[in-house]
Amino acid sequence: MTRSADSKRQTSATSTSKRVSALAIPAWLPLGGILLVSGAETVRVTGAHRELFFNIDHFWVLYMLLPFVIGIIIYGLVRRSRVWRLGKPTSLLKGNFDNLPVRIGRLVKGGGGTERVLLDPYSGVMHLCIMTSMIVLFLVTALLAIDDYIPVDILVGPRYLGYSLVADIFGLVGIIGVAMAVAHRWVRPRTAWLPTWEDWLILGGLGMLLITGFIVEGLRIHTSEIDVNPEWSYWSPVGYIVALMFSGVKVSAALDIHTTFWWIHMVGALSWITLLGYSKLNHLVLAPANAFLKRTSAPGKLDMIENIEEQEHFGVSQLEHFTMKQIFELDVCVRCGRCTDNCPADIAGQPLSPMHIIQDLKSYATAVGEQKVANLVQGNDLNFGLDDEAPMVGGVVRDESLWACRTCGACVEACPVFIEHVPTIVDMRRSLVMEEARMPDTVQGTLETLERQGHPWRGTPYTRDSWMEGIEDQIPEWTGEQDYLYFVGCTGAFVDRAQEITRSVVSLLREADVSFGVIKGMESCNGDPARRLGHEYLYQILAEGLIELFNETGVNDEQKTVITHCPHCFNTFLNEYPDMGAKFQVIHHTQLLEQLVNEGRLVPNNEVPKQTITYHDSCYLGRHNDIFEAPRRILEQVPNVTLIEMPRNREQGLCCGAGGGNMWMEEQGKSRVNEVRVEEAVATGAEAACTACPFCIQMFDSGIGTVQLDVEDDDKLKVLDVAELLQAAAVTENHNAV
Amino acid sequence: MDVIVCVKQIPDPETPAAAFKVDEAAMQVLPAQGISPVISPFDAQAVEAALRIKDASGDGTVNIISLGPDSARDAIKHSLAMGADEGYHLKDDAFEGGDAWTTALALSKAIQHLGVPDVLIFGRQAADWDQGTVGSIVAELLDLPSATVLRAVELNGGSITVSRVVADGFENIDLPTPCVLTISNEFGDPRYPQLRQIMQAARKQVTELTASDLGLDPSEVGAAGSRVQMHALFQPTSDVEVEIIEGDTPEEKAAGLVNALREAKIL
Repeated sequence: MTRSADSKRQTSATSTSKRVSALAIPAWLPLGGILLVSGAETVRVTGAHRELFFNIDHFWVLYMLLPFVIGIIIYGLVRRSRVWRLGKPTSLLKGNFDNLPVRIGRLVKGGGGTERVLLDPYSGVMHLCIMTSMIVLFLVTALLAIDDYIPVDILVGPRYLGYSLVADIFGLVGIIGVAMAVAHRWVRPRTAWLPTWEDWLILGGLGMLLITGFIVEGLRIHTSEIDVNPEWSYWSPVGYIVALMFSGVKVSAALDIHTTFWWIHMVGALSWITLLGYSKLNHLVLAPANAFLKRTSAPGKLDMIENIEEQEHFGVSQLEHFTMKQIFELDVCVRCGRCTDNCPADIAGQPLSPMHIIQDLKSYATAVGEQKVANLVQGNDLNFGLDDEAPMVGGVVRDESLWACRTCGACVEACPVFIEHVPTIVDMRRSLVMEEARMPDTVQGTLETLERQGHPWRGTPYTRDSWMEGIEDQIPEWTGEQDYLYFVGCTGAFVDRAQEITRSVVSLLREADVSFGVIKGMESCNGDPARRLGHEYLYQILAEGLIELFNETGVNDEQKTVITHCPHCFNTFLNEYPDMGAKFQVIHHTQLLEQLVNEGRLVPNNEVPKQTITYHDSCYLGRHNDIFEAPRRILEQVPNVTLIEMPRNREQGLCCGAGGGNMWMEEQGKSRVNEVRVEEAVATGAEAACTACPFCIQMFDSGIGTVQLDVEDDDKLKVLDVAELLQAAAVTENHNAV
Repeated sequence: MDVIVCVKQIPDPETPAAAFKVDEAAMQVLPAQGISPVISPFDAQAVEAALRIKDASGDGTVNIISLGPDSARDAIKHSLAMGADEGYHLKDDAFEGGDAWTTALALSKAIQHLGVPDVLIFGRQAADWDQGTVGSIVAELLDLPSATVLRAVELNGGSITVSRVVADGFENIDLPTPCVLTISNEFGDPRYPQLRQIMQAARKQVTELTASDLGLDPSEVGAAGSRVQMHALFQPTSDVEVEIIEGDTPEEKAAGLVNALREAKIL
């Protein structure tokens, strides 16, 4: 109901805290282990300890290497940061952080807590194994060093044995994690997944470190412990088993092997860690940083191009047109492929994989970005020597990939390292449309219709007021005195199926005696389709025009609320119009209707047929604005209705296929997104699908036409707006606007 | 190669029928609410043809002339945004209420005023009144060869090869320059202007020319010079009656249909 994001975000916050508390358990395991063993102190193990640098001469070489290793890592990251700094500075990178608590929360939960990684069970466990193993083994090593330097011996007796046990367990956990990761790459099929040398170097290196660590431990036990203090060895179970495997080897030979492996292990560890500056291992540092840097505005919001008439370029066609954050983000990607696995275009076999867009841009940033940095350093023109490079937009990233994006945000929602693919894709679309004027014919037609007629529905036989023909007297005209303006929107006015929804909303508002009005004949598009299609300039012109109308008619007032039944209008008004000077409140019809039902102003007790309904989340209502429950709670209160869910629902809901201006494009690829979604709805066995978006309804209707081609009309899936169902259940005859 | 394109602004042909209204007494079309007038689609294709000729020849200019009220400037600006060089707006109260003849007369004077270019291009017809005569009248007035309703235009050394759309196919002919061409929708879609060009076009000065600038007497142009007299303007109404032919079998239905068509004297 208000612009405050806090109330809306409660649902996801509660589920998040549960995940994080579960995550905290492994962190307590090591400490608990040590305490447990200390508690069971017995005389036999009182002297248990191990000799630091046992059997090793010249160990100081390691300490000499350490500064070099750190230097190499820092050099790699700094060199990379020069490519990031080709981008435009954002207020973020000037240190102006809005919503600091939210950012810190993300840093802790999403960065350190790897909250989103855990959402996929297999790779969640794999990652958790590797991560906890690395952290514990690092702490174990650090503790050993501390113990060496402080005068008191901590790691003696039972404390030492507990310590040894914990180290062994987490070494084993690490090996399990690495094995899962290797298996993942060999065995488990994933659509978007492509292992490269980086994967094998990081995993191979880590596996080698863990294995050589155990070999070194086993040889130490074999040569110095197993015969003298066998009962100590049981507390190093993995090392003990390795020691038994070496039991036939003479001690002198074993000592030589021990020395060799010790050096392999140590030099290997120091070499491996330098990957931090040169490979996707850098996600250890960059992913938490990206969690902190991610925008805190609504995910569906697109940023405005300020002073657009004075810009030297429109949108992004060159690397340096991106913001620093957008270039930085490319390096954060670890190629996990979850974005692509969740992308409606990819699911339907269409030419878009968000992961490949990010990865291709990353390769481009490496090749071309570093040349540009060199040009800057040498004082050359930024593009010197780059004439033969394929263009970034249209070459590295293909036009059809940019057009296939639904801006549904499934990729952004799924990304465990908080990359924001959608603004990056739309920025490149902006260049296609405004800079190059290169777009599919149907997009051009839509933009021309928006320019000329103020709506996107080319060829419609209707006018703005066609939907109220014959019932004009039942539709109150907006006077500026009412509480609510019902903004019908272009789809609600120009598309016959959506006109029915408009009339349902009016009936419900009349039934509940809501003080509302409609601006007859004068509405125009708020600019959302133009903006999603990349025509920011046309968006701004349309938005300025509509805000002027709202100013003239008294709508643009903090005391007034605009009702919209279109999630796209809703998102634009709520999240994007404040940038254009909007002050009014915004409410989606499902929010208002839920409120009216709760207040008893709408009583759903008319007889409606018994039916099973599945609710389809509109991306711009659900994922982008966190309204998942209001429409469901309305459905639950309609008698005779049983609500069932599709496997992909709420945050993971699949787009209907219309988003991002794809309502007005021809789809390219194996299948259509709406057909995939209709198949999912049909598979639930529901008789009807309910949604709260006029675009979703059209996409479902056309999808049912092909998916259920051979099904009798009466048995076909029915598609309803929540308002239409509630109208049937709650509106009395004399309030029906029909 | 220098080209002049003559363009006209018309009510948007995409206007839904329900929004189309005429004032029968004043014999005028009433502008539809909230829908801006546009450049006639055939004329936008004419501008596209001109720009392609300019590109193919490697040099020259594309200039735009439009006759009409203040708002006609938008059609000129659109052409400039597409890539045309200069715009000329024939704007004078004396031009109002004219017909194809007075329009062609004023345009031909303007073309002579600017200098006859290598190629003169028109849309095959304005998409509002659909008369399709202005281009041919201008060709006559300037005594130039012309080819109408073209789907393709190609430069061929000094001459121009064009392909006309005719009733039973296409007719390919060569024309010398200067000549007059009218472009049909088969030519292909006009380009969508780049934003930078739209902004440049918005800043560009459009030269206004009056009847006296062109040496025309007000009695020769506009309503005074018109050779066409309008007697009535109205929206025709058509009533559609639907009759469902009943029958148990397809044969019965077909027989019923034949009887009904005979009764209506169609068969």
